[in-house]
Amino acid sequence: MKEIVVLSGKGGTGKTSILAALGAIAGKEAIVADCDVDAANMHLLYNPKIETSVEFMSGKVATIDESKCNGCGNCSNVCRFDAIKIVDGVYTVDEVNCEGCSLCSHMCPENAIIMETQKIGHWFTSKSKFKNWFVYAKLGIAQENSGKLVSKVKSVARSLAKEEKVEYILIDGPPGIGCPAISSITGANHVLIVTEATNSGKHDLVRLIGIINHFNIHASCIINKADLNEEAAKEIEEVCTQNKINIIEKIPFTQSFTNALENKVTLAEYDDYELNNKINKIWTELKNKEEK
Amino acid sequence: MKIGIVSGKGGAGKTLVSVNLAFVASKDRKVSLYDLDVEEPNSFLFFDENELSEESVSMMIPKVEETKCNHCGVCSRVCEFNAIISIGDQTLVFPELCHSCYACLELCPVSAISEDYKEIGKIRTIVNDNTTLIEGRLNINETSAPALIREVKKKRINNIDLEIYDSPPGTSCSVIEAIKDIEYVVVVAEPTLFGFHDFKLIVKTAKSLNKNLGVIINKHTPENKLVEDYCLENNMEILGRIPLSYEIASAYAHGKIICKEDPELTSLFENILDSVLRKACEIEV
Repeated sequence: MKEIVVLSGKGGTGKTSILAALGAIAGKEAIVADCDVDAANMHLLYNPKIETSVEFMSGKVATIDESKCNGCGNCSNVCRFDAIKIVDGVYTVDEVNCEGCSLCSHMCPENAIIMETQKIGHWFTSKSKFKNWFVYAKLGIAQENSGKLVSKVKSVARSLAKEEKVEYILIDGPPGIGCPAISSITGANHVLIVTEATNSGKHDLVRLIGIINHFNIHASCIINKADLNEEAAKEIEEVCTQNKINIIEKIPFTQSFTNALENKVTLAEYDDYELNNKINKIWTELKNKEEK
Repeated sequence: MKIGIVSGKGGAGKTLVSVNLAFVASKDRKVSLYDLDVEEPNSFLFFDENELSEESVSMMIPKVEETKCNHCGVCSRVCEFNAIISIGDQTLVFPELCHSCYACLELCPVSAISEDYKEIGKIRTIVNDNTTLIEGRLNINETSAPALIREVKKKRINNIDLEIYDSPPGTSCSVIEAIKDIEYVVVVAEPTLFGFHDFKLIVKTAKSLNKNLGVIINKHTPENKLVEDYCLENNMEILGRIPLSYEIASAYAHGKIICKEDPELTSLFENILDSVLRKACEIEV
């Protein structure tokens, strides 16, 4: 089993469009997992038929039982997150601020504080229109703990791959380099970087490479919008060479990305011969790399 | 007055809007721009780095004093984040999981735990004429983005007329931390299949936090009505439309403030600023 995760650092570089197309070409050879749970998009192109839907519980929030509260204020004093305030004369938890650490409930002399585990979203296993397994999740509105949900999606994809003897897991990662990005890179065999030839793209790529080097994972890179800033594109190539990252494709700025989305198809299905070829080539290269 | 720029989807144009709004506003006001996208802060790329100061941000992590610890395991049981674990006669701290809640410190029956600190990131301040950029920059391999965002927001500059928060992408922990105490949210929408989907998510998120909001449509084309129609149906104000254009994308790609390049875009952003300020004032009153 080989796990390939797509990351970019900067958002909007074309990660999801490219991974969705790779998953479409791979078909039954790959399980596809959408780990950008904050803003999951791939299901919009995959027409998933849901096989299982499971509620995901994670993290706690405090609630104060007013009838037991003696108003001592211990809870508010010990809270490091400014989450307990007096509202209309009673101590009240600000759920947005509450970190779920439970310190207040331990310090309450009246046992008036209950910690409740939160339903933060759902994860799904499904069959996509490309006949492969597709695992994704939806985080509830204004819910936190997305890193934990990312780990869940990955572990579900892994056990499916084992059961069904599928060779590849293709993972769409989140933007950034923090908690959810680190969750999605953990345990992967290969990182496919999709960057863009902009000053921001290059800056964010350098930080992403820092994470990749830390985890010591092989990586290859696609430069999207390669003609937007040719100097930036050149600098990206230099950074990649220094870090032994192969540039496997450059894609010029094209309306095909938006047009394909408008037609609700992946880049592999969209009528752009040159782009179709590039996507096919990327998939072949990735497979070759993993066999070496 | 504080306004927050959000988008849900990455690459929708948050930073483009933030730096250009700051630019037009700074002509006759003092502006502070907070770059709260601490995982990938980009706003500084649009500034001259002529006056720069940097400070370190740390968070508390527990330190176990071996001589005092009796290995009772209370710390391990009370920690909700599995950041401190007691096994046999060893008590181990996992700093990357710690949320600095102090539960282990407060509840250790023999006071064997004291405060230690680890650096999670930096705050950089860059002053360009009337604009002060305050940037949070998470250290590589750190996961505590919300904790750093909290510290960046505490950094106050005197005599500021307008504060702009350039927020992180997504709809979860980091963006909630960024916008939870601001007065008015500007949602930058990209009218693509993905952009529109994430736009609806972030609008719901902002509304669930009881925020007032307005919308800027980026990469706008007259024939695409996705966001436009949604705003109309849901009674949301459209503050402005930035056209889909290779020139804008290319100027952005080179780290240029597009308003400096094109007078038409300057008046577009001036109009957007006027609408934002008018709406935000109505709320304050």
